[in-house]
Amino acid sequence: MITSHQQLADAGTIPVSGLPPDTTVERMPLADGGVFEVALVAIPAVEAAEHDSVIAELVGRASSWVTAAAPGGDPPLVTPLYGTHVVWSPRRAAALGPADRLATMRAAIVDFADREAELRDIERRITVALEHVDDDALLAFEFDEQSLPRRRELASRFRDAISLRRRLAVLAPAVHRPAPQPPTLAGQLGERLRDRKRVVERLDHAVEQADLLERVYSSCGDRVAEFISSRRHLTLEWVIILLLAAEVVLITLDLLASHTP
Amino acid sequence: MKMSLPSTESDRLPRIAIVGGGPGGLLADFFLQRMSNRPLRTTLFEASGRLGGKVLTPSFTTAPVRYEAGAAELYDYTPVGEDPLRDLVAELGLSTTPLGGATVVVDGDAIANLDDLADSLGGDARCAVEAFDLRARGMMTPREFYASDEAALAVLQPFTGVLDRIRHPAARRYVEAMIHSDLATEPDLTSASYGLQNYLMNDPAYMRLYCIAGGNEQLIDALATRIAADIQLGTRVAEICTVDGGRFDVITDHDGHRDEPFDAVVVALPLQHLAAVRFAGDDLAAAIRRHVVRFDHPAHYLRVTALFDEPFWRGRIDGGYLMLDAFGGCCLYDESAREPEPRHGVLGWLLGGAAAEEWAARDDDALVAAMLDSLPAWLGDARPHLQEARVHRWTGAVSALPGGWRSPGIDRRHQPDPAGHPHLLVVGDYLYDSTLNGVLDSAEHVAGWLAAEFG
Amino acid sequence: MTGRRAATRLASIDLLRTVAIIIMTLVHFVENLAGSYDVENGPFIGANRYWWMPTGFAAPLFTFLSGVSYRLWADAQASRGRDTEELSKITIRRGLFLILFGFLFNVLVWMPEDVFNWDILTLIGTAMLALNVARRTPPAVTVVACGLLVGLAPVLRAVTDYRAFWADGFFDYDFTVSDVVTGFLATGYFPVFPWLALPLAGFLAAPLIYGGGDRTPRAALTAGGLLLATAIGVMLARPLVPARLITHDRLWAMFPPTTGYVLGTIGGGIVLATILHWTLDARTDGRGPLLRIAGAMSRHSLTLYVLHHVAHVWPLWIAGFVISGDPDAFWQVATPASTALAWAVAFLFLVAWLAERLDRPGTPSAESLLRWLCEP
Repeated sequence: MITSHQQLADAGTIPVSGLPPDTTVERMPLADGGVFEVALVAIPAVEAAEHDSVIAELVGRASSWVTAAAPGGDPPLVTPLYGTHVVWSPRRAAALGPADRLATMRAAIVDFADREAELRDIERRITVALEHVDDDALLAFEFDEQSLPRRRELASRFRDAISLRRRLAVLAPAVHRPAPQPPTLAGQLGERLRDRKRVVERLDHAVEQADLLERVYSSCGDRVAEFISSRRHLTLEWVIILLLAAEVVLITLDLLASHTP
Repeated sequence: MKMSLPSTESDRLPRIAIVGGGPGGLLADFFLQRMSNRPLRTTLFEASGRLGGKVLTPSFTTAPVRYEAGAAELYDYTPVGEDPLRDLVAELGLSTTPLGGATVVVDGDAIANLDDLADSLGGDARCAVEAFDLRARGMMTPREFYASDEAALAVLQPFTGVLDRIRHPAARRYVEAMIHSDLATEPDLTSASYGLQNYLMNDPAYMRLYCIAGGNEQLIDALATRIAADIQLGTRVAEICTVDGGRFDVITDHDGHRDEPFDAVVVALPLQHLAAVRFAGDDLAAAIRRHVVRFDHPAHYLRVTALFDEPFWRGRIDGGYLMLDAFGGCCLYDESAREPEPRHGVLGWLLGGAAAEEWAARDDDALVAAMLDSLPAWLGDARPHLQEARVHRWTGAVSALPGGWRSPGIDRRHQPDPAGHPHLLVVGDYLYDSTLNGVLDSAEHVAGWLAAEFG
Repeated sequence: MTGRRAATRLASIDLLRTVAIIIMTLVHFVENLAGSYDVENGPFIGANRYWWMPTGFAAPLFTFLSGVSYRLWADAQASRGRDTEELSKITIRRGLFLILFGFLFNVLVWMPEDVFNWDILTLIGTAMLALNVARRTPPAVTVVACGLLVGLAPVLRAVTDYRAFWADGFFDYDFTVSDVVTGFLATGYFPVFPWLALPLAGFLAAPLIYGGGDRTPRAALTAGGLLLATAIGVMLARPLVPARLITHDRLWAMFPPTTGYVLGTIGGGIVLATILHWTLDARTDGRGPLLRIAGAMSRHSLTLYVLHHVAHVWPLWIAGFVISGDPDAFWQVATPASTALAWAVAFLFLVAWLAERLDRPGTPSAESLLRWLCEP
């Protein structure tokens, strides 16, 4: 999670290629270890007839700037909302609006970027973990001596599955929390970004997948425990058998020796 | 093996008459079939040539574009609890589209959030609105909103008493503009409970709105295909009288007396139409009169819907609707927002209360002109794009105080004369909250009672 | 074919087994043709010659390796998806084959009356049957079994009066059920108690030695070192052992196998195998001529075991019978020790030449007979 953010070393304003000279760019760390930049672009006061074209021009420039840092060059999300515009990608975003709204927009965008980065990281880890599920599922059904060397690996994957569930459990209330009422611009913006990036659906899917991982590796753990327990019982039984056999041998040889002339 | 007709009294299938082909009547038969353990013979009488009542999704004639002429949205209570209507919509396989709209236009300014409110009406107005919101939520929690049938005594006062506590005039205008069209009446004619419900419905923590993709009337069509009732369209019930054995004769304008009496009658009519049916027998007639008087708090809606050659306001309206401060507060629906790539634009005005009653008296052309004049300038010039307009008047069609000042018990609500005529039941949204959810609850209750009695 | 086989076999095991075969050949030739190596025999041979000390290591090393090889084979078969029941059938068949082959060997190579002398072949056959059980039980059970085998051996020798079954350094029994059973369990050349512990120990040690890839097998070295240390401790604690349990004057002896001897040879086997595996197997990229020969000799160890006996024992019987009418006439007095040693070395060169030829498809050998009878 983001714990701090800082303005660039030059502080205040910094020229950013393609954006108006008074644009402020802030930078902060993300949950996945990356860096998120948000540009705050004040919409100038213009005549009503020019308003649409000015907005379109600014949105276009902001999109270019945002796209430059988008993973895979994917087109950014452009969303208008009550006289403001947000151009968003996982690594950069631009907030365009009246100067007095930029601070509240920034707060909403940063908050959303933080959560979305966390969700994306969780999705990535789940994708990696799911690659092993088909093979490991066999061990959730039956565990034998040959599978014993894999015990630590399974334990590690179980721990990872629980870690993913924990992260989702921490993330879910923030995602599902309804926007404040009466609505504020920050709340509406957050809700809009959440809807457009389908964060709730993605979270629900991630929870289902994490549940699957937890179930599989929990079952693996149960099978391992059962196997080890039954092996202990088997060992004990065999030791008793061996001791009895040794006793039989001893008695037999003693008898034979005592009857040998 | 050939089925033989029932030959003895005990073998005879019970006959149920349902008067009214609106959502109440259809839902009553739907639930009756589901809950009954034995077959029942139901007959549904509808005076008009169509089923659906206040749920109406017609099309324009100049273009094949649908619009909502009656109930515009459905209420989703799932944030708080179970929502049988939502479940039914899903069960019927109908797709839904969420509806939202936070903008209130006051003096031409679009106020979408508290930040806009402070800019347009001042910081004091913002504080006043926040204080009112806090108070409203303190007076009615989401659970109480959900179970609004059991409202606390504290809210059994006129809604004006609650609004009067908003000292800032602009803030009060803002709140009134927001809720007037939903209220369908004036604040002094309804209870604080009902008023608060219509304010708090804008909070997603209490409720969300949605509509059925392709038109809300699809709900009616889906129900109609699933019920087994003998549907008599264009058949107005003129009189209901009792016969020997506690049964009822249902006399229609269409073909006079029925040969076989009905074992029970469910009257699923709006209150004004219920009052127009003759009930033979002094006791029964008196019971019905008392029932009507108790729940007679008429409220009014007026819908004007215009078709434009293009959605010229695109990008200026965020959401499915906004509230205008014109006509004391009216709702402006952007119905074309429900389509992903609309070729035409459809705007619908919903007036409520005294404004609806007053304007309903004017002719259609005057209404359309007034509606176009009410549009804020920043939305664009509508007249060059106008193609067609329709008007639907719903005067007295809803209740301003559903459930009355003090709601009687649920059984008592549905049985005007429980001692003398226990098998005469009524269904209606006016018994609950003037919504489709309410009429479902009403129909389900009556169906359950009848299923226990006859099924 | 030889090259391909070498790629799947561990050179360290082949080398160790070949060393055991070489030691066994040298010892048997010298012992059977020239007398017991226990007695000083010239400038080179004798118990006081330190270079002769490893002679007691051949049999325990060989039996230890039989357990190791079985474990590696079983694990490889299981990893290829072979059914455990099928593995059991193969193992039991092999075990029974070796027991019967051992009886036949005793009759044909030694004397008919030596059929139940419980030599190394019957021990390894019995070990096969025990290893099949060990494969299907938890390792801890096998550890306990080894402990019982080693711990009870002195007790059983005391109970059965071990020395009464041995005369002039040879196992001598009466043809009774009692003696036969006692010989099998406690008093024979290679009785179950304690010799069965060696292949079982090899079975347990194999994953430690060979399971770690290129990493230093610390666990194996630790286990081997601890066993060696325990062996030394047991030998040092000899004065504390009740006299009834002592059946041999020496601390380190093969007949009967003292506890220190058994533990020391197991520990030494583990350490040797580990060091060789670490140094040899990881770096062998194709085998040189010596390792190729070692591989061939290791693959045909059963055939070579029979052949080396036939090569020096049958001439003794024939010469004795022909010359003096008594097959035992030249037993241990046929040649001087140095001559016997030279003949042993010559035989080994012959065997080296012969072993690679035995690899050719269709060449009959004891191993090909075993495979034909025992494998599906």
